[in-house]
Amino acid sequence: MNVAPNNQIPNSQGLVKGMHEQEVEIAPGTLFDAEEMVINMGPQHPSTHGVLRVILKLDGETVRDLDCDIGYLHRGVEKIAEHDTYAMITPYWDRLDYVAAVSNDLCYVGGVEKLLGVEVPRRAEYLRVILTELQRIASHLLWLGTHAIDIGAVTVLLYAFREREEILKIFEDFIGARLTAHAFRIGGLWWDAYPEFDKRVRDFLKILPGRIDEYETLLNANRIWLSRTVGIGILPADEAINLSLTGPVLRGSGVNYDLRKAQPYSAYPEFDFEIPLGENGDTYDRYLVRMAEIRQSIRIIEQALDGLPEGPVMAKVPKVIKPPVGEVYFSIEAPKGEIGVYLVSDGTTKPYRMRIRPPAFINLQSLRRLSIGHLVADVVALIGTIDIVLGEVDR
Amino acid sequence: MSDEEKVTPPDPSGDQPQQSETSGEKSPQSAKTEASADKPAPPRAAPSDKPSPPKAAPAKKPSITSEIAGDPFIDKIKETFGLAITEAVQTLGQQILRVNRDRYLELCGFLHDNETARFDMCTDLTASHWPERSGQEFEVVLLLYSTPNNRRIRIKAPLADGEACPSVSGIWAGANWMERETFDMFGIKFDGHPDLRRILLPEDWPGHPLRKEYPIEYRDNEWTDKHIEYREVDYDTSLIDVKYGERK
Repeated sequence: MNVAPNNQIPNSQGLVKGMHEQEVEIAPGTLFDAEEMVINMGPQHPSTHGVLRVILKLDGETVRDLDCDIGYLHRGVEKIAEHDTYAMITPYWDRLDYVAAVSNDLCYVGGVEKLLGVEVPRRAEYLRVILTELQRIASHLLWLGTHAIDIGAVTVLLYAFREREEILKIFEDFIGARLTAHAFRIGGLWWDAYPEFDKRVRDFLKILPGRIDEYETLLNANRIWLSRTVGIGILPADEAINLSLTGPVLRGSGVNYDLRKAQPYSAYPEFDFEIPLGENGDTYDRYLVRMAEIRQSIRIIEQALDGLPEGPVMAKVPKVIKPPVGEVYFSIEAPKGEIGVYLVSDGTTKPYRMRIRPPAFINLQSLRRLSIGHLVADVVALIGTIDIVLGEVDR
Repeated sequence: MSDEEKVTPPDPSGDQPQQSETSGEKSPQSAKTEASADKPAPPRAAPSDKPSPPKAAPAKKPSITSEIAGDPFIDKIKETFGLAITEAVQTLGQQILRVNRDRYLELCGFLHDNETARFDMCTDLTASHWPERSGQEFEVVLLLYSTPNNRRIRIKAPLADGEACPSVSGIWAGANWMERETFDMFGIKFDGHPDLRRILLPEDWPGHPLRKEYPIEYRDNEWTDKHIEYREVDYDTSLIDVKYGERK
């Protein structure tokens, strides 16, 4: 059994307190000769992608230990859900991982549908696949831009946001919102696609592959990019599984676990696509996996647009949603990993318990394992490679 | 005339028993209803037909949970752990095992190491609070996944209020933060956890929010008194003591 070494993380408050209480001793050699230093990164730090506070124990520039302090955005969504009806909860899911709102919705809505035994019309399933795959591209583009700017490649951010903007415009015309897009309802979709939807998505898909080539030209042979990513944060497959990692972080280590193939949901069994896998499990492989995933998403959307069936987009769902007594776990492959919902129903209109299985929260746990032994500057690259969104980490 | 009433009751109840009645009576009565379409007749015939729909209504709600039967792997676990497995059911095709707290860690080790099981990933760990179940107020819920077999299983360990649960973070390193969150939200202590402290809430926060007795509305507490210096919040105090049981 291969367990991540040494689970003991020192108390975060103790560390910081210790820093102030300690008298600085000037060692014979240099000021900080052989001393471990505790420094604080965040919560207001541009590279932490929100309000993540990282407490680092350093020896020179090498990270000896690390602790994450999270919870700054905690809103108590699971508690709120116990007091809301099933339909009222959906918008809260948009605000978990707010750069992939559509994917979150699919998870919750799918869980309630499974509990109710509702069969969603095929046209709705296809439109759901198109929207979630567009969202995956948007999320990966945002990740690429911010990850690149964190480690010094400023240009990519501007290009990636240009393409993401196109997706957000498609969403805005479909759903009415750009970021917290609330497209899905229990039983299907609220709106059918607008007349130019097909053309606009196809136009976008036409330009996107060339644009991805552009990013890769900027990065793949870039010596700075390579030296900042290759060999940084190597994670073997068995450790990645043991740490409960999911999503591109797990597949970067070569584990073939993608819920779209492993436990298919929605209309995914009807499409032909591949699961890109990494080999070395380092930051560079995780970058390659995400870029390849964008290309696979394009394939899926094209197939879905070609085969888009006619028909209704909403199943017959009772106005008052009262699932039978029981419980269900339903999870989907979100851009960040496996997002899941565990619903316990007591037969009333409100869930007795709703648990969100947060992929970014669980993936962030591996930051300590990845960072130890690397330089401080690499911590920035490693936070980027895990791809966290604090709205979902803190819930 | 009686045909009109036969059409109304089937809506709330099941259609199977109703149809057999109507199909027998339909042909002789259809001529009568067309001839005499008068309104005072229905109330007279109504009481005789009424008893059947209420009977059908409760029978219509099927339970989505059933016992697991014919699964060799589950049978093997039942054989190995005997009475410690108090329940083995499936809901919507998802298998759930309820195990006594004493052998919970042993079962987890078995599921992780056993060659046929190989549940190598801890997908999620959480809990639920059931205040009415005396002696088993809490339930630790563990969701496991096996990457070689592509299979899931859910383990539940009932706990009394204040009772500690053995930690599985030695088996699955990923359970570390999940157990910390469960401790934070429910106050369940995990024996043998390397670093059990709050993760989302401040360390000196009073109470555990996902317990059912914890109110959802804003309240002043020791923490807000200590850390928030200036505060002028005008909120509706009439809602402040809504308990879980009164929420319907």
